[in-house]
Amino acid sequence: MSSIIQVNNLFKTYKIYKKDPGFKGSLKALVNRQYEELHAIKNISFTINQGELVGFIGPNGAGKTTTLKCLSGLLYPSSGKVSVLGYTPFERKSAFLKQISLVMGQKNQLWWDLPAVDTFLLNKEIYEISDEHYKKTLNDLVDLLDVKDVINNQVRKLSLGQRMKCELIAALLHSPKVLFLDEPTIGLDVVMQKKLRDFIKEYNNKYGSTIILTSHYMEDVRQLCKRVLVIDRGELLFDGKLQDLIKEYNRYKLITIIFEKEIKKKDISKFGEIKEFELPKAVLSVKREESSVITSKLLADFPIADLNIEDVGIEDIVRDIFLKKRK
Amino acid sequence: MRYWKIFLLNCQTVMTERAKSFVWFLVALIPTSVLYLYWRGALISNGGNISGWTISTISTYYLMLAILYSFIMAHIETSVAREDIQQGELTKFLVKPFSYYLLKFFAETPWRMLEGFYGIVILLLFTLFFKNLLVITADPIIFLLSLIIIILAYILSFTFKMILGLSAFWLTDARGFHQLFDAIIIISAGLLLPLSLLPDFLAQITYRLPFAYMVYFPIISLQGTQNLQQLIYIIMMQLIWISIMAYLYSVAWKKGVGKFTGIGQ
Amino acid sequence: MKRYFKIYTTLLGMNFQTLTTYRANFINSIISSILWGSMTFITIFILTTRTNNVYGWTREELLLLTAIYNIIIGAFHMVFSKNFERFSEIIHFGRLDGLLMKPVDPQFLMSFWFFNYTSLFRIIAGVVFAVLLLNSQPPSLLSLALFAVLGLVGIALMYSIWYMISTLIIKFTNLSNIIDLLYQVNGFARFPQEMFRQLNVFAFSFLLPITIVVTVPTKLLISKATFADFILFLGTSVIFFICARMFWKFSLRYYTSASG
Repeated sequence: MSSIIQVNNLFKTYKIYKKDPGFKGSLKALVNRQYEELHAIKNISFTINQGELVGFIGPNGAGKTTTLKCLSGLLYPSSGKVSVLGYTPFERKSAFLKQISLVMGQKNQLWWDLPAVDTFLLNKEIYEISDEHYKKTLNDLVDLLDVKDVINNQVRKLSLGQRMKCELIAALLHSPKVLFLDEPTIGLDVVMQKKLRDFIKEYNNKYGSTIILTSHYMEDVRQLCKRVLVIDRGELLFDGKLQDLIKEYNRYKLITIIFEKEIKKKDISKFGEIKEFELPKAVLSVKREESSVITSKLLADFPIADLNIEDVGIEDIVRDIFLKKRK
Repeated sequence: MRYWKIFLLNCQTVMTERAKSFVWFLVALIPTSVLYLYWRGALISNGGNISGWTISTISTYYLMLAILYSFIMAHIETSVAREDIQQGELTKFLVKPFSYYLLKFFAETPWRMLEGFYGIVILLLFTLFFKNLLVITADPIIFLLSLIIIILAYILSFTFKMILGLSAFWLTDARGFHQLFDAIIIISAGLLLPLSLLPDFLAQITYRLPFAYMVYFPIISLQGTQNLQQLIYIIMMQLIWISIMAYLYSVAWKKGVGKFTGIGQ
Repeated sequence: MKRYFKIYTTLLGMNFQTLTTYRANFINSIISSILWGSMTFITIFILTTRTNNVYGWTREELLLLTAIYNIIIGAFHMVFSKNFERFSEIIHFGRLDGLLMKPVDPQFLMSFWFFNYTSLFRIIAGVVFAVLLLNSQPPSLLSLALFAVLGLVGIALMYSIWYMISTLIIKFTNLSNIIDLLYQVNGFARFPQEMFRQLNVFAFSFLLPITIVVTVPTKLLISKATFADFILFLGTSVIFFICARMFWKFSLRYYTSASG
């Protein structure tokens, strides 16, 4: 298993110019430009092997997208070494770009008034795909995504789901060896999210391409990635098997309760750790295995208007990791 | 009052978009500068006088044109046609208990005022450095009446542009229609050259159209070429044209809104 | 090279197909082209009503200048304008990233993506008028060939000016109306270069590039061009092209270092 992505001591720092508000501030700024440094990425190192399906998770603004942009060549690192497929990404060599693909959110590349297949043909020329390769890959992808009937219709007339599938095909026609997916399921409904995840898994299995996806949804990662990298505030907090992460940090569930009547804090403290208490709302953290038992007890003993059970969010997991690291 | 709040809010927006506003000002300044250069050469090879216009009066004309044009000519028709009617933003306005006309008026005016401000700065610079090129009236009464004419011109052009914008109720691509009037206005409002320099038959037509009262007459009023009687006449004509436009607007509005809410876009 | 040619022909085909999908827009574009084309002639006609000699150019020569202007501007609008109009949209909505990911030169993608077929009418109008005006003294075949070359050089110069100014949008993202400014700047080219000589040295040299775009090819057709004109023209075009490319590459480095 060869390593095709290698990152060593990556740093990305931005200079943010500070200006005091108002007119006086503008004058001051003319004379003495003050700036502060924003460390988007602080000393991240990791290696990814061919065929891996890796997830970068972390809260919004953690540096996931910035890392992805450094890997795909869109950003110039402040210091450190990045190597993808043996190339230095920011040199943006043609041969490198032909082997990777970056899919970011809702940014579309399909021509609105034409059938999707026309944009595919354009990409065929742009990526210099041979006729046979094009035909085969197109057929495979169309079958995989089940869009045979729609690729010849105007993109304008397609539903959001169909459009998304065609966008994916456009991004994968050149059979990239490395696929970067930035927040792929954001803005999609539950059904589409599942379909997209299934596709990604199948694609990785079938073609053996290395896939890196970023997400702040735990579910994306849970369904797809065996390995995760947790990034927060520019730092790499965890790099390893998802199983281990879950086992370590996801042993708890959060129960959010809306009480009908006033109750005392100490009355519920025996059920679990109180994370929040501001009547009529309270949030309890309980062990995963005990959550159903405790829930039924709460419902029996207290006047409850509404109750919600959810997983400890990635933000909480990350916060826990971060606090642990501090210690 | 609520309209005042809207006015202030737009003033704030305008201030943050200073650079963009300045570019618009340059956009107005360039063609007038080019035409001024043209006339300079033309006058020199014609002994300094063409049909009563000299280098100083024509340079004043184009300078005032650049300044007044950016102040008077609203660009509201695109906002009305594209955003409000075609993209449906009009519904936002229809549910409010405010007059659409007044809302747009108070939204547009801050932009015009900023442009007018740039114009005044340029004017002051000119009075300092190129005094001999500037020929404006020194008579305070004529000056005052000219200011009234300028404000009426703004109201007239604004109302006209609103009607143009409303054409989107019936035309699927109002842009072509707007461009046609842009072309007509260039010639008949005196944006290309003073109306008295047009071929005679054309000049006579333009004097009878409302566009001359939007830019041309304000400029020559300020230049002091019109006596008191003529200025009063101009003001009367402006008021008549404003009434006509206001009437056309209300008819178009009633019919248009009926169509808009009946079918929707 | 051949690859870029293939990509371009594919784009031309796609642009042609989009043309027919919006019938109303198509007709509107044609009317627009014809309207503004006619306006350029009407305005010159009106401006020369009471004068018959401006900076050494007669009315007929000025009309010829206008015809050539329509040909060159028409060609420029056909190939490039729509792309420049999209510039600020691309940068503002972060679509530049998508372009940078393609294994094709980004300047090529920014410049040649759209093609406006309807501007062809403007070119035709210009050609028709030019033919009418040159009927009495038709230029030689060599002159015509040289004219075509100079026309291309002029378009390249105009392109470079537009590209340099549009690149500023990378740093000043809210100046989306800079394109409107550029359309006005093109207007300088409608008048003879000699007209701008009366400005002071700085203003003139600043405006020089745009003023020679149409003037020099026209002078060639009426046999008034000098060798110095040619050298100046070619030299300016080459310098501006190189500068535009360098400024673009520099701005891209800024973009990829400073964006989040």
